[in-house]
Amino acid sequence: MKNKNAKASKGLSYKRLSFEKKTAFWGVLFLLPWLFGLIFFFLKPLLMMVWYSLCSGEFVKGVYKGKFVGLDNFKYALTVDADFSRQLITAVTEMLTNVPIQIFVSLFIAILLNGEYKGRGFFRAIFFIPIILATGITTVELAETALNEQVSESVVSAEWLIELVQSSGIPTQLTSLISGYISNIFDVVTTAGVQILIFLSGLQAISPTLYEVAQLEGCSAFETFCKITLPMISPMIVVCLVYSIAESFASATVTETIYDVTYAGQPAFYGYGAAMSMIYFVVAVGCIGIIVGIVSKGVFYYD
Amino acid sequence: MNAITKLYTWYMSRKKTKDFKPFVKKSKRSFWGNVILGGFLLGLGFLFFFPVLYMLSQSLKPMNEMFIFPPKILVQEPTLDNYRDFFNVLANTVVPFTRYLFNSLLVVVVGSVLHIVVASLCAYPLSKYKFPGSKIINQLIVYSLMFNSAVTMIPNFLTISKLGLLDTQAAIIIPGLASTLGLYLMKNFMEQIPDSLLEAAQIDGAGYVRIHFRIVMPIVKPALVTAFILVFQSFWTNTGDKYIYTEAEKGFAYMVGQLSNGKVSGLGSSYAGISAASAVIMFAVPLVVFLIMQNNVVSTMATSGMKE
Repeated sequence: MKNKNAKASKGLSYKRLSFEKKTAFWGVLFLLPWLFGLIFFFLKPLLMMVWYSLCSGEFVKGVYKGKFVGLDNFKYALTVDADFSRQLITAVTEMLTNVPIQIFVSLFIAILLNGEYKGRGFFRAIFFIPIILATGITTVELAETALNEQVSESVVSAEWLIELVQSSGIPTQLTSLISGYISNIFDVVTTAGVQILIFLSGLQAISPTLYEVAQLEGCSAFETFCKITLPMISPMIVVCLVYSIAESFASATVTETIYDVTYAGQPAFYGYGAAMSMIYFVVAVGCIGIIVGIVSKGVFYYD
Repeated sequence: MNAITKLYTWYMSRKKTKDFKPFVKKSKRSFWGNVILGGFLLGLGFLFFFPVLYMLSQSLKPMNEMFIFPPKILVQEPTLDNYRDFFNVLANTVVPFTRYLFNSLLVVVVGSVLHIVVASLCAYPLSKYKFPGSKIINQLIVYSLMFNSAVTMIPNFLTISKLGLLDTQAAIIIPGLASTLGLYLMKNFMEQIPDSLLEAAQIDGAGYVRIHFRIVMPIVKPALVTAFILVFQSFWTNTGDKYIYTEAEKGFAYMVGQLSNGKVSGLGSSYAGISAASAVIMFAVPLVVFLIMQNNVVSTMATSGMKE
């Protein structure tokens, strides 16, 4: 009897919860394993970084001995350090120029790869290669530099073409922008592997019935693209934007500078490295916030 | 030009027959459209394939071909010496090769599978239900993608050492679980699942666990596979950062990665061929995983319950 009662009361206490509370209970339960990781490997380092950035000192046997210096590190990074702010601005401008091209190219390639034709698996494997190669294998880097130089030299070194274009009245900034694009087109295109993969799986997620309906209604290929593919893939555009921006910032020279300052040379610079990292973090998150905020207004969700 | 005209007439004659199947199914694309698209794919594909070609031929080059000037891209007299040397080098290391292999495979496989399970469990409630704190966590996920890992190394090292995980496989696996690489992708796919589908399952009496494993996970299979590939890749190529958690002597370094990572200059020019061979092996494993997985990406969503 007692056992039964205990069971009943236990069941009741869970059943007495409202639907929202039950959902929240399960939601938190599902989250827990990952949340531990988040706390230990993201929030804790973040808080420690904030504290270190306000200090100047060094590690003695795993314990940070630093004295509080306030915002000096930040002031130094933004006003005295000649390299840092310049590199940060370069990182932002590079991101602004490269990311749209990357998104456009990868969406285009993904749509091509999603079609049904012979040798599709082969092409998919080829376009997956850059993801594997983005690993710092030295041989590959050599090959990339060789190819990049050849491509850019053959196109950009055609000085007469640039002069011809400039003399026809097109502003110099535009031509230098375009020749800049061409000279690092290999970098831009080959780092689009992750985005291609994301777009590809996004395209797979579009229900084929939608296309059948469009065909029955007599839509042209262009109309189908504008009315079905683009709205259905738009959430993935936001995803790819976030990945591209993160990737672009991570591969910028400013990241290397932060790494060098923090670890090369005296450990006394750890606080300064943390301060630089904080500024970098705020700028990067700000960029993502603004861009994603604008783009996500046009995003369509199925339900 | 003559060949193209021939191809064109062949294509048009095929088109008139009844069992004609165009290269692109269900589209009104013209012959020239196909040619342009095919050419474009081939051209771009070559751009992507070039580094691999270079790497392959470099790994097959004998010593005397390695440093000729001007450098030739294709190998003249292919030889497998570099691969033999590579395995010889591995055989003579302090830690046996099998140990390296075992550790690498354990870390990569267990790490990726655990990441997918943990991250998908987390992504489902975050994308589909609202509860206190869910908004903040959603934002934290995006922020953590922007996080500069350079400065977090020391705090992470301290955490790992306090947990007593230094020099274990878990030291590499556990920080990987917290990464948001695959999580963000899966969360966005799960947001696209219609609520009505989950409600229907709930009315039929399915619990949250059952809904997650029987409905949500199968529907987002393309995203799961993509996330798995990404995470596998990030574990496999994890050569630098995370060795701070383990001593190389005790053998959690991936020998393959170590050799290919900047040892060309470090060990002198005699290692250039070995380095290229190791790069090829390093490259082959994720490619095989991708080829196995990509079949799964192709054939799922078509039958999902997305009809309304």
